[in-house]
Order: sequence, then structure tokens, then C-alpha cells
Amino acid sequence: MRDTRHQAWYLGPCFQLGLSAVLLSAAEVLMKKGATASLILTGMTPLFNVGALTWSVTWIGIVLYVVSFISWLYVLRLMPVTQAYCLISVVHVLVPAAAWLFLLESISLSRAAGIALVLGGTLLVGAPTTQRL
Amino acid sequence: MTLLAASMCVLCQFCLVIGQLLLKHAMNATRLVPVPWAAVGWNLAGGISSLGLWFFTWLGLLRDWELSRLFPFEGLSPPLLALGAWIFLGERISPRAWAGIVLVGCGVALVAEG
Repeated sequence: MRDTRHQAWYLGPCFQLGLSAVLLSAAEVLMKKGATASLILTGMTPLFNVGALTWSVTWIGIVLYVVSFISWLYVLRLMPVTQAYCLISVVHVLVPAAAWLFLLESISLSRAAGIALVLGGTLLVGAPTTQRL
Repeated sequence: MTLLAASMCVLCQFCLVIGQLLLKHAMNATRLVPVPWAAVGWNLAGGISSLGLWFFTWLGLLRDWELSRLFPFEGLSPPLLALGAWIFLGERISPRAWAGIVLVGCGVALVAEG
């Protein structure tokens, strides 16, 4: 990891990684809202939800997604990819939590157990795959 | 969750992984001298098309299914990349990674069922 002692706190890898995770979660929630809002538009393509692009929340979600990605790339410059990849796995908990909190989705015990397995599995697979990207 | 929706989720992750790999190939090719611009262009076009397909399919799935049910499918990307590298590049998958792939598969199946 690079020496980050003289960096501003908001440029630190941990803050940027947290920011990336939070922005990604927010982006997914907003895109879900936009995608659902497009149900109002009848006659739109049934499979590829192009109608969602007519809603501003979808575009805000896309912008947050892009900013999250830029933040992630910045983190990769400062932190070993193994460590960064394990830490970003927190999105597998953050996104369902945000869906429960903001979209009022109910999360059953079996779904929670599945999410925990995915989180554990992602941590195990970890770095070997992401290092090649 | 219907079989079609689950298959679309898996397809989405395939598109995401293929798109990322093609973009990575394109970026790698720009370092060569001379730069093979035709290959860069094709890889870029393929990558962007694949990511576009992922994005609009994902939006379609988001319209019909709960986010907390769909998002765990995102966990399939790392195992798919590892499997792709194993099948196409002959790269070795460690026992730890195999365990992770099995766990992700079980988790996604549990979420899709529940």
C-alpha cells in the first residue's frame, strides 16, 4: 500500500472504498426505482427496459454508478487488489440492506442465508479473478 | 423466481464478465507498438455492446424482481471469471476458489428459490 500519511482524509483508500460501496448501493436503489417507475409506461419493450431511461432517477443512478466505478479504480491504485476486493464485498450486505430500508423489501431467512453464502463465497474466490481485470 | 428470470440473471453476469474482459483486452492492446487499432476498435465495440446488453437486461429484471433477490447474482461474476480463465486460459483454480465458487452457487440458488 502507498504511503498515504500526507493525504487529505477524503483521498485515503478506506474512505474512497467506503464511498464506492455506498455510491454503488445508492445507484442500485435508484435504478430499481427508475426501472419500476417505467412500468407506468405501457407499450415499452418488455425485455430490455429502455423505458427506465425516461426517468431522472435512473440517470442519477447511472451517474452514481460511474462515480462509484471511478472511485473503485482510484482505490485499486492505492490498495492491494486482494484487500480491496475483499472489502468491497460489503456491497453484498449493503445493497440488500438498502433495499430493505428504502424500497421496503422483505428479506426472508432463506434469502438472508443465501446472501451470506454469496458474501462468503465471493471472499473465498477473491483476488485471483479480479487481478486479471 | 422463474427459470427464465434466473437464466437472464446468469446471462447478465456473462455479459458483464465478457464486456470487462474485452475492454481489458482493448486497453492492453493500446500499449503495443504499433498499436493494432482495428483490434482495439473491435474489442472496444464488443465490450461496450456486451455491457450495454447487461445494463438493459438488468434494468428489465429490476423492473420485475426485488433488488435484494437480484443483487446476489452479481456474486456470480468472480466465479465466472475464474471458470472462464480455467476453461479458456488453462489457469489453475485453487481449492479455496473452488470452495468459493460452490458457496456462491449455493447462495444464489437459495436466494432464487426463497
